Amino acid sequence: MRKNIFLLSIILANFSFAFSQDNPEDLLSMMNDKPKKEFTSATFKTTRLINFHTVEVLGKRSLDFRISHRFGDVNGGAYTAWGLDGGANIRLSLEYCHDARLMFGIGRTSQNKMADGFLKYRLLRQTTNNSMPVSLTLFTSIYHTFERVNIDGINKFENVSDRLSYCHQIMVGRKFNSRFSLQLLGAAVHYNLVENITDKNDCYVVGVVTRFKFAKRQAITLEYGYRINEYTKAKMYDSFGIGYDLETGGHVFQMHFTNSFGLTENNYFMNTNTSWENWGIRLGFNISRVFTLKNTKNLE
Amino acid sequence: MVKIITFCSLIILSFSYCTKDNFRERHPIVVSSCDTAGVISYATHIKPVLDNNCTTNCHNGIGSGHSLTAWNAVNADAVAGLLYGSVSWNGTAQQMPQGAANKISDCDITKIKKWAAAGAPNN
Repeated sequence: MRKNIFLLSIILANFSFAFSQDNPEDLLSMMNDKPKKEFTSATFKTTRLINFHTVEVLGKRSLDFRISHRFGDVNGGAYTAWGLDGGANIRLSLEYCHDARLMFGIGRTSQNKMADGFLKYRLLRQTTNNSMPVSLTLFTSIYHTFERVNIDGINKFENVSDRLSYCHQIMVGRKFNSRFSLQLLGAAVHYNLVENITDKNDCYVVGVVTRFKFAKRQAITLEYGYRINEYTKAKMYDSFGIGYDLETGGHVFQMHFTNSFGLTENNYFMNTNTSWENWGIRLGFNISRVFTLKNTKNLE
Repeated sequence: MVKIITFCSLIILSFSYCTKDNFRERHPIVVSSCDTAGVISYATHIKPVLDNNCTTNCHNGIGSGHSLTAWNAVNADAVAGLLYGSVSWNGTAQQMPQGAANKISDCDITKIKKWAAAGAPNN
């Protein structure tokens, strides 16, 4: 029921915005009466902070190739070279946006042999004159595992639908000044199939994401996701990460420590099984390379 | 407008394949029950119980008396009632396994009782 209400509210929110923008005459009269609105740019540097999505979407006709990498736990000590020896988790993704509002992407993650696809829609944009004080972005994604799992000699995934899980998010963010940005998010994760009787198919998360820019091209980032309900009886922890962003031309290099090994929303929100308390954290990095496919001046 | 309809359609489409299943509801864990019906066999039923509980450290002809490694010795103790008396802790023989907090399983005790009552055959 909560899921249905959530879906309905997304659709209604979309349509209400759409109708309000449909009349070109209204739009023109607004432009004549008031000074032109300017949107706040670069609330965050990229579409991801550490693991979490940000309110940002790509620019017009932009293609983003991303490589994300998480090493093993640092608490393995010198024997595991502080996690560098451990099995790593790697995600490659390709993401595209045509109009700086609706973007989509596909990715492949080594953990659980996971393929995913997502849609992200920038519904509201913060303006410099504060007529719109926040940015609001909607996110929906679907995940498919290709893993072969047998439990007691029985194939765990008997139907294709058993392999699927979903995540839906609402993100509200604000750039307070050129240095500080803050975002709140609400997420719902759904697993089509769970393993144990006590496991939950639906889980909910609220989170906070922030960035503090301390130099022209460098920033410190923080993200935290609080699980409203537990997915399983096994001990899990909230995802928390702290990172460093370095911007170098078309590249953004993000280096961080996080207790989440997962790289997809269905994993890091609910399946983080290591804790900061005993240094169950890992080094990770994201590299983003954005290609602009056509001169955007021709579009305007 | 088109992109909003596309966005909503894809969300609705993704929900259409949404299920809510549980693996253990489909395949509950089956707890193995004790099967003592029919003829109890020395080789199939009794010897594994003795190997697991009696002969590893003690009743192997080296550690202590009453070797339980060969059928003829087991047969003698079983027919005399010593074997069942010791594992069932019924007061007729020294409690075995020696020093254990609990008896061997009721299932295994039932097998020994039934096999001894049948004359402890070498079957």
